[in-house]
Amino acid sequence: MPDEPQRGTFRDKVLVRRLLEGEEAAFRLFFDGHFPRLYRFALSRTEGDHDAAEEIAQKTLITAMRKLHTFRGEATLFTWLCAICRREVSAWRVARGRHAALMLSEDAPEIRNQLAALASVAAQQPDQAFDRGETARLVQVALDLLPGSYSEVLEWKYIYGLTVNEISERKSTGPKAVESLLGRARRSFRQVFLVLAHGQVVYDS
Amino acid sequence: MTHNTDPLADLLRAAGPRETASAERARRVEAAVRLEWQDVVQTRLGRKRAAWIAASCLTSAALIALVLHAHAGQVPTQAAAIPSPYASPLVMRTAASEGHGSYFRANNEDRPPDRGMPRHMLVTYAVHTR
Repeated sequence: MPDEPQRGTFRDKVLVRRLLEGEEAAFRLFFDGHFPRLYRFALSRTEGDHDAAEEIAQKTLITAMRKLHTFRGEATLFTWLCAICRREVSAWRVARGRHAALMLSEDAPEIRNQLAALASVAAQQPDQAFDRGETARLVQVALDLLPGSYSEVLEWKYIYGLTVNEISERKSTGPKAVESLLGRARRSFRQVFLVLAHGQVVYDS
Repeated sequence: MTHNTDPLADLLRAAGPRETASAERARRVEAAVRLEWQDVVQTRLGRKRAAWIAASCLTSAALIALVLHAHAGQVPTQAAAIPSPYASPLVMRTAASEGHGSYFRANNEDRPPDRGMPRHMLVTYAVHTR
């Protein structure tokens, strides 16, 4: 488990190298793996404005393409994209005469650091003070922060109600492998969600 | 149902599926990003190609310079070693012209060699008038 972020950044470095070499499959992997998450990331910062989220996600990905050679793999590619996206969101807010700094709970530096490092988390129950909408949003943010295969398998199993056998058919792997993947996905989700839910929430500083 | 006792499953179920961009939005963004990606890749490949060509040219120039330099050092000794069909008569005739001037007289050319003429010109003259 502690190796997962490192494996992730190594995978991302390889993906970036393939992208810079012009490999079509790498572009597909990059776009399909990051655009939906980035779109949701932007959407939650534009008060649900879908057009703005599209514009910001597009600007973020274009900027990322131009700066791709500067990606060092110190954080995951998605974390790197989120940093660019935050700047684009600020620019968008300033252009519309709004306060540039919109800080969601997961944007607080201490939370970001914890998420990046996935530091040891106390095994506490989710804070009951969160309202239903905020909890739902944090669940989705947590899913977006997980590796794609983890969030995918959690959604299939718990939201769409697929059985282990159905998931193994979809993923072309054995049921044992799916159960193992589910176990790891659950542990990762719990860690990320607890960091998100128990962090200090700062709005519009 | 077992999932009632699983708080994590309940949490995920309550949150519902994640929001997704419409296919049209995804297609638009993908087209724009793909264009930028292709531009970046082309620029990088162009730079790489230019750098490769420049490096090749420099290497070739360096090799040519090296070969020329090596040959420049070898030419005089090689020329001296290879016997030329004209070498002996030329030396003889040059020596004759420097000594007593008998060469010109022997060919019925009563004109003395030009005093200011360099030695190699003299040699050429001798070859043509042979």
